[in-house]
Amino acid sequence: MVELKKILILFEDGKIRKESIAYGIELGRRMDCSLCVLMLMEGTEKGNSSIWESVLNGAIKTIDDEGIGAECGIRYGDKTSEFLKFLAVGPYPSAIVWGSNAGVITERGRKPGHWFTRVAENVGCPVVSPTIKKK
Amino acid sequence: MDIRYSIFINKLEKQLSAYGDREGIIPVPTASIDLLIVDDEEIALKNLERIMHKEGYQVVTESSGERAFELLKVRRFDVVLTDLLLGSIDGLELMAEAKKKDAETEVIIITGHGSVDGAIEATKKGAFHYLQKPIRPDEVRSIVRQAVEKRRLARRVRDLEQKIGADFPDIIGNCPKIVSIKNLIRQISDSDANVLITGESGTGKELAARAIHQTSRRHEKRFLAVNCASLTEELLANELFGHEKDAYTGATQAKAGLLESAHEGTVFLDEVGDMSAAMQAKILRVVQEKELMRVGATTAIAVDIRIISATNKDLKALCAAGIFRQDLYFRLNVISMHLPSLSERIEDIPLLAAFFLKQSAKRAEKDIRGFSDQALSLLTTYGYPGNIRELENIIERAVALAKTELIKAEDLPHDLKDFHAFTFRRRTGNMKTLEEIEREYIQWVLGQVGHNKSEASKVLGIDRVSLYRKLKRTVFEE
Repeated sequence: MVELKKILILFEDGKIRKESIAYGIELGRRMDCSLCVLMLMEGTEKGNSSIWESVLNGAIKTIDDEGIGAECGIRYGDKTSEFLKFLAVGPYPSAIVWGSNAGVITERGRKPGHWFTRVAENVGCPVVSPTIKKK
Repeated sequence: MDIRYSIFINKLEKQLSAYGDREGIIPVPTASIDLLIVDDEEIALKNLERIMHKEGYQVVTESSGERAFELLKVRRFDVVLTDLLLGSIDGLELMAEAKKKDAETEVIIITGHGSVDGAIEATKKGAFHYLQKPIRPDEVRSIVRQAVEKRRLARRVRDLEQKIGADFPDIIGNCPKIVSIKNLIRQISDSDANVLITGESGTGKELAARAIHQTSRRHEKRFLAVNCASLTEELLANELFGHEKDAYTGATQAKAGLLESAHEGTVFLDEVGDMSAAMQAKILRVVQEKELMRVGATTAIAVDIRIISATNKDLKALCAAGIFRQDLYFRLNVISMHLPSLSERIEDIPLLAAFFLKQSAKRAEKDIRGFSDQALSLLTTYGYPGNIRELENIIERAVALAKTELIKAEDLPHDLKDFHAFTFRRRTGNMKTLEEIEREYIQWVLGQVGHNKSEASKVLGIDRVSLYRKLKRTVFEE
């Protein structure tokens, strides 16, 4: 029986940390499941979509090259409500990898006031924020 | 009392007290003993009923073999006292049906003159004893008491064996949360109540369900695991409920569904939160009415199944949001069991890692004896969003890569060595429903936009009417 079906890698404002992609790929491979990459953008589309799409396509290509199934999407608007709407309509992810600003979630806690820290504790799956270890 | 049982009971109780359980044998009151008497001679039936009633048993009588047979299909008895010759259905068939329902039911066969051979044959086939007509009251009292005692002891032996013997070899761990899970499984072993298991993916929900089945009286019957999210609604309905001939194009013959085939067993419904509304209604009927309809059928089929369901979703929140039926939720959640994530039981990680190492090394035919300190340190500090399943996979991969008799850090996936993976989880003690989160979020958005409802409805992505409706409900509730 497949346990983890989908891992969501979540980005905001076009910021992508490479380690979150690398970690998502490892976790996906380990758990035999596909990845879903979601970019949340504040505000409206305003003709910038092609820039963000190309950024996201680069991430998808990296995942595809590793032989793991992936799908992606960009949502514009209020990030909290777009994120909650995304969770409500699709199959629920088994884990979420936070892929933007590393300071939002750290070992010491969560950045107060950030939209994701307000909702992350209420999602029904583990939320992971990978950062590179200092050598 | 059978001397062999007495000795066995004494041994088990000595072992049990060594485990700290001082519970003694509590005699079962006769009023809790259900007795079925079947005889087509009305006078003999009335006499036996009177004698047994005076003994304090709960007595049910039947003068027809057919009716008794139907009754035994749906009800368990502790002891059955039946005439051997009953017309179209004989005492041997009743005995078989009674033991099919409950193998520990004791059957006493009553015979007339000239049918002693049949009674002896019945004893060979598993009857507790046989009595020859005319019945002597003292004799029947004594034999029934012995049968009741044997059944009581058999039950007690099973209980004690469960308490001290089986320690669920598949559920690895000694942390307090896992110990309490094991205790709960033991406590509910006599129960037929439905169980709802919650926990993140990979925490071992199916293993727990199997352990519940194995310790129950249904353990000799089928355990059937169904993933509700893995099939389309039509396929799931067809697989679970079966179909009649010509129910749809291609249904050339009738087929029993999986639920039917699990009659008297246990069905494990995984990811139950992903069931459609239509499927929820069908499952509710099975749980509530204990019957199901094959696709295309006009009559219902009675089924006796225990349902263990599992989900990683918050079903209570789904009920509040109207996605999951509340009546089904209450029926499924008679006993709830929450499995901790691996990060909540880090003290069990070395034990689990050693267990998976032994399994994987055996499969790979490698002589690997343990972990280096650095490898163990990496394993115990990682967050495991995929829980035990992820740990198992990491160990399996490490075994494949290992070149020495120790698993070293370099044998582990690079992300464990190169990344910090801060993992946090929902606090299970104070979980909010979707409705609560929605309410709080609406209030927060309103605050942000200076309580301008048009602005708030734009931010929330809903129309003003919906926002007013949600606000009205909040005010009404408050």
